[in-house]
Amino acid sequence: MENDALRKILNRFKISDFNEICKRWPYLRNRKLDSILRLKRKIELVNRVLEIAKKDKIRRKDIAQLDLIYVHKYSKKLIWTVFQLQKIVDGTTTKALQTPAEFSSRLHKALSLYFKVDVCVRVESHAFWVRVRMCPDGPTKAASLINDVTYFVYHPHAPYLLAAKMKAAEAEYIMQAFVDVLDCKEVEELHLRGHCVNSLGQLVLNRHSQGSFSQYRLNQVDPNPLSGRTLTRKQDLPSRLSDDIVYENRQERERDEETVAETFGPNEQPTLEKIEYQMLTKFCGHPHAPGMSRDGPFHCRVRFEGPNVIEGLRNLASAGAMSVPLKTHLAKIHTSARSVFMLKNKDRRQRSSQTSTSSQHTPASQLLSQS
Amino acid sequence: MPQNSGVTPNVANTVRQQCSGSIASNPRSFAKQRRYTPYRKTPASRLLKDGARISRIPDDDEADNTYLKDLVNKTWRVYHVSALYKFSSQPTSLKFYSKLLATYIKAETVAGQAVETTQEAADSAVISTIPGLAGHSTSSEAISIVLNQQKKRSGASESKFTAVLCEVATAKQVRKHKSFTELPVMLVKGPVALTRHVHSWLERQFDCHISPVTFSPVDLGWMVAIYAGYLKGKSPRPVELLYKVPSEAKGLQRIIFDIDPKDCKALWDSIHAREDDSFTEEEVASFIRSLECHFYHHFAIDLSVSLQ
Repeated sequence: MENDALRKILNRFKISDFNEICKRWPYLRNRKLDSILRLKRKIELVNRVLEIAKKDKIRRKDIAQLDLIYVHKYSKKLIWTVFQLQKIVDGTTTKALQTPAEFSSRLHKALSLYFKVDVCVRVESHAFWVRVRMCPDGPTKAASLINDVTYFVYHPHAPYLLAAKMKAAEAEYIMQAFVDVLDCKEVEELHLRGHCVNSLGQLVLNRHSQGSFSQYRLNQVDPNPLSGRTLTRKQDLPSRLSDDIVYENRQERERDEETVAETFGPNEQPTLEKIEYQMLTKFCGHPHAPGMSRDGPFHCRVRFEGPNVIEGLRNLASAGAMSVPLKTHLAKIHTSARSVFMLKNKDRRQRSSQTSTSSQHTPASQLLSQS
Repeated sequence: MPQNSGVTPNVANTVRQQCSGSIASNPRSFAKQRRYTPYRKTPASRLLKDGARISRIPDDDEADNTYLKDLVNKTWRVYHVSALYKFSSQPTSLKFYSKLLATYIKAETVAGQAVETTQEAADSAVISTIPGLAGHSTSSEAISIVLNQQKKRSGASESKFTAVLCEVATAKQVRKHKSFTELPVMLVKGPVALTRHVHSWLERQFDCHISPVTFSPVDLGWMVAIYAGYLKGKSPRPVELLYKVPSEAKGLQRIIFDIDPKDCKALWDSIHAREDDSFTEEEVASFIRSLECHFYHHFAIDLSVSLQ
């Protein structure tokens, strides 16, 4: 049964990964592996590892470790949700410094109050990568060794937790366990989802140094500004069709390009695959549909999808398809640490009694202008 | 569909026989109307032979809707199929075609296994007619092609691929050649490899040509407008408009604009009078443009522009 599960996990890897597996997986690290590294075909590699596993009686812990190596390497295949931990303010964070073993045992204890679990923790790129497997009530099948699993990424000292493949029914209990282990008041789910763990971390930890401020964070500011070098992104105005084409509105385009460069900054934008806007604003297409009623929200939803949506929106703006001045809720995506937005009309009656909406906990970011 | 108001001269005779209006009952009035016009009686050499008069086909009111349930609520790919040569819809020949298709698919999957490691294979094929889908009683019946694969453990067969070849209900009846069958529309649901195999088999077997149907934005606009006013069911799905992004915007692939069906219907009702059966191009254009204007107001992106 463990062998079946091991075979499935090994088959997910590519042939070029096996070298890495031999170095990173503790089960194979201390063996003479010339026999494996010589083989060229994946089936042979997998069978060789399975032979070793049979001889040496592989344990479920080792399979969990291998699974975590796979998830760390191919983390872009899963969708990660970001949770924010509300820390206790009095500063008694004795649980902050934990070794992986301590963290693993505390988490196991906390989760065992609710479920029967198997917990595995690895340290990869300065973070704890956690694999929690829910043990089924009856006898374990090979499928459950791989399927009923949730993955978490926790950077120590950071008030954020990323989770993938968490079932909605179990979410409440798991988060309660994390509250215990990480010594915080409560855990709140942010409206932020994506495939790239690094980008999500950047969006959430470096919220206020994105866009043009990223050049300060990444040490790109020229210490000698009078030297005449420009550090903005080189953006000629080429024409795709022919070199003979001259743009008559060159000045306007350059001005727009400057605005876009200032908003988005010179660096690569963090990757978000899907950005969603729930729109509950009033209908604004009256020039073409004068008969439409002017009361009541016009419910619709807009989704931008692609490999890197923020970069795409930036390119759309520089290509001229998005008019400058850019809308705030599009220009400030990298500062808002959200991928799901709600647009509503400002309620003019309540404007005087409302406080400023700059805190993180507002459920909706409001439309700023309604021309 | 809007009624044709003008009649061509060579149909005048048939129309006079069929309609019972006051104008046609008096044969002299036609001559009176045709005076001082360039229209004359058709010369005998130009009259259609074999009594094949182009006539209006009455709508089949007793359409059988049971087979529509299998087609509805699914995503289909649409292809255009040219006329099939020597295709017979007799049950024996359909069985024969099924066997041929099954062997062809098996041969193709075996041939392709050395290169691709896909699991898209099929064990058996079933080609049958769908009785309720023929538009008129005289036209050929719709054909369904289903490819099944037997599951290894349970032995039950599951359908991996479905295709439906059917006719389009047109107002005019096209004259048919004896050995050709016209089933121009093909709806396909299934994996790409199997689709390719089935297409190549049909092209080889019946000497036809299959090409994918692309809908222009104008056509799609008409479709949205036509169905926008039609709300049925307790929780209708939102109207989804999918826009592709120009290649300059690297990183962004598409923009999907979902509209609540009730609000969409309200918008369409405000543009188009409910009782009117005919839709004008201006109404459709205003409908789509008003939605794009609403989008532009929020995102400053003009959806109708195409960058070159």
